[in-house]
Amino acid sequence: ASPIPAPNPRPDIAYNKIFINNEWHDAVSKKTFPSINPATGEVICQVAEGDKADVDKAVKAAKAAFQLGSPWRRMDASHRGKLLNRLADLIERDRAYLAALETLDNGKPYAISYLVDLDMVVKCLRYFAGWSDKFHGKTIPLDGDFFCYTRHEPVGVCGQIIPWNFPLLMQAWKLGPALATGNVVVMKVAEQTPLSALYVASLIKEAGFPPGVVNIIPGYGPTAGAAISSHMDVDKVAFTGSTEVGHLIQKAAAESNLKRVTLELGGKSPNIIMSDADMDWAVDQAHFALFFNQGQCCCAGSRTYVQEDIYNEFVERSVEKAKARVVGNPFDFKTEQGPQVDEEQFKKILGYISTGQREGAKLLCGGSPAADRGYFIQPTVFGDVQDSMTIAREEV
Amino acid sequence: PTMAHSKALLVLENFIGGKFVPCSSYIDSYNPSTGDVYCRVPDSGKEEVEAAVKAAKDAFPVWSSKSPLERSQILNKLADLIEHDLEAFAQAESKDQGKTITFARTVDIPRAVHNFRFFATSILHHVTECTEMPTMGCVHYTSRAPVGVAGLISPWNLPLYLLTWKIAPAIACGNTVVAKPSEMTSVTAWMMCKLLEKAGVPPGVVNVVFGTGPKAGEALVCHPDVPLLSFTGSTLTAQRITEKSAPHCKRLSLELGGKNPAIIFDDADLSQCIPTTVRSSFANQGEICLCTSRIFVQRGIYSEFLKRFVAEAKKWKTGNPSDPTTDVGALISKEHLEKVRNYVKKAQAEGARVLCGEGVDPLALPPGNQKGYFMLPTVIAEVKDESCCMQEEIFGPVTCVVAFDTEEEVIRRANGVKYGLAATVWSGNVGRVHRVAHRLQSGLVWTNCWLVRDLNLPFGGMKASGIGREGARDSYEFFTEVKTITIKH
Repeated sequence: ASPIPAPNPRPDIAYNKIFINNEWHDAVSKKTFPSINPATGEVICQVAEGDKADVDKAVKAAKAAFQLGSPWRRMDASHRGKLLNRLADLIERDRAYLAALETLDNGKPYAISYLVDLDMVVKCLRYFAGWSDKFHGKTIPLDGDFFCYTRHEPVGVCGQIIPWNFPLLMQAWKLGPALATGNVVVMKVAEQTPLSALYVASLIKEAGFPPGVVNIIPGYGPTAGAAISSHMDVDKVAFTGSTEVGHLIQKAAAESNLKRVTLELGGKSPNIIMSDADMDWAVDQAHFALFFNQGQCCCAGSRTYVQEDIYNEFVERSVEKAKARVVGNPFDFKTEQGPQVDEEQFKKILGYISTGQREGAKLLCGGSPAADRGYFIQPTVFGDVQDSMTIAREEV
Repeated sequence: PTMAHSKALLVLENFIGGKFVPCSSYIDSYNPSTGDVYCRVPDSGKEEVEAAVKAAKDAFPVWSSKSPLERSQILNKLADLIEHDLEAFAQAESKDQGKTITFARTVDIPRAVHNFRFFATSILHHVTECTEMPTMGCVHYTSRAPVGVAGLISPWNLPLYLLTWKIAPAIACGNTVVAKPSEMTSVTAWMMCKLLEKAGVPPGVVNVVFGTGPKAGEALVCHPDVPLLSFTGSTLTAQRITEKSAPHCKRLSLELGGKNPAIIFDDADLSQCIPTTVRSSFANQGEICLCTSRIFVQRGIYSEFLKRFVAEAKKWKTGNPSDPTTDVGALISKEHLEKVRNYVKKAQAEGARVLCGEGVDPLALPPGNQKGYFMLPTVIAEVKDESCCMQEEIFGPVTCVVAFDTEEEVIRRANGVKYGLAATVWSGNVGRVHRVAHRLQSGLVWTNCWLVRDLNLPFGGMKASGIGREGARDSYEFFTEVKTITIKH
């Protein structure tokens, strides 16, 4: 395998505005917000802050691009696939830059951004590119002289609200299938991590997607996100994020135009280790299941159940492994764990740690910030946790 | 160009185990638009086929264990490389086959490229099946695996197009192949071999053995280590292939001839119907298995149709294939041209009327093409259904037009041949097109259009037009072995 190219830890930020109709716009209000580097707590740059007025503009552009007879509606399905493949090619071309930008904005180690996040983004886009001319309808044998068949038609304007834990990958997971099936998109990216998605917007234009097909708005949930979920001209909203916000989105969809809703929310996934498990492999995988991506995965194995007779050995080995985990500068190739994504998460996690201790769970390692600046937290293991405790029930 | 240059022959070589290999004897290949020999094609036999099968067998374990994604990337690369050289491939195909440069540029080579891209992506999206028996604690699921060495025999009418339509799914699914293209049109296959290494196709995965059906083709058909055979060609050859491969119980996919009807009702939109039916009759010199060769016109519009149809057919320009304004190029060979002309003679002897083309209109050819295998698009009327012109596949620019009265009658007459490949139905009445389509013995029915291909869906013929189907799902099923696995848990 070829080595990972050395990162530029200070990548230039070319795109920090709102992307509508393949053009860059300031917010209607002219407001901006800062995007912070979680490794240092410093501001990377200001980003245009989208709100309802900007969502209105974007939805209008998307609707126009979706009109019957438009270039996007008239495009052959296989050509949509070609455009998605071209986007994948461009992301591959700029892979090192995007990985560095992702690490700068999110804090995940650069080696992982490059090898895992970017690799999966390209694969995802290519997968859906191939799919674009392969989803079929059915013919149905009705009684009588009738001919009945099903067609899959694009839904229309898809509102997509994505989180901060895998910024580029979450963007690809949402854009891939929506565009392959001929929809148009208004996407709100997380305020914690807008930069990589905005760069991809420039590649969307370069790949040749018609104006208005993809529109990207950096902004906050209660303003831009809420505007999308309650917009009367958005036909579907897809959200990945917290269960709390998921409730709000479902409610807004129902109270506006009954738009279709898909929700990918939180988790508190159990990891069950039976006594006949391969101990080395189980410890290794249980460690990865929780600590990967700084513990910021909806599917993290965050409750590890260990069968009684191997409990002590398993705990001892897991704690040893957690203590050995290298926390540090995410641009350093030796680093395994970067900072948490922002101050809010940092405080919340430290809060859960102290609640855990207060409720009587046994702190076996970690439990404190791992550095003087930035949002680094030591890999932390609690033992003897009861199912009723807060840390066993709520997503940390 | 100097005399020496124009006399230099293109000598092809077999491609076996990733290398070009010379042969001990060669066959002459002709430029159909001039009648000159310009190419020498290996006259392969048992020995060459044996070497190729061995190379394919040796390459199978590694190729079949690659992930679909890895194979996909290689197929996409090969598509890109062919596309990059599109003009060179088109020129070569036109010179080798006699078809117009326009047809090669817009149909043959782009489809060859698309074949690789289509299967490169479709293999990423298949899912297999699963059922559960909770009361027995069992789960059943199917699993598909590549079969082994596939023998692919392709024809001379759409050389690279039909060769790649077989190679792409065969190797996408993880098989290795030994292909035998027609000895009359081997050049573009050879050009493709030159790109295989660069595309990342490992040696031995695609082997091409050039030669005749009776020698090279038969050796491949009879080889005990080639469990799959995909053949496109004549029904007669298919019978021989079936007989010869029977002792080994090989899996066969046979795409054979057609005697395709166009059925034109009196509510057809003639402004669309006529140009499309002229095209479906004469495109590629009528040398496509899907071409229309029996046109049934409802009596009420018969005279008007015939008048307008013949007028349109006469506009098609026969001439030098390398002229981009030529519509009709040369037929494949001297023998084939004779055969097609004889059908027209027979029709005349039976009392049919030749309304345009062969023997009726003058054919003016440029000086360089006087010895080429050309004939004009020919329309025959008042032929009886029992005539050989209405029963046998002519495979040239000749079509027969007859009248009919009722829907019942035309369905019976359209089905009254041994073939059943493609039919076109022209009518504005949606109920009628569905009804008629359901009752035609035809693997493909195009209503109010012709040759609109969706590679996702099954392609193939009924009756003497073939066995099996090809397409995204169908080719995947042909080129893999399915296993049902039961797990009791």
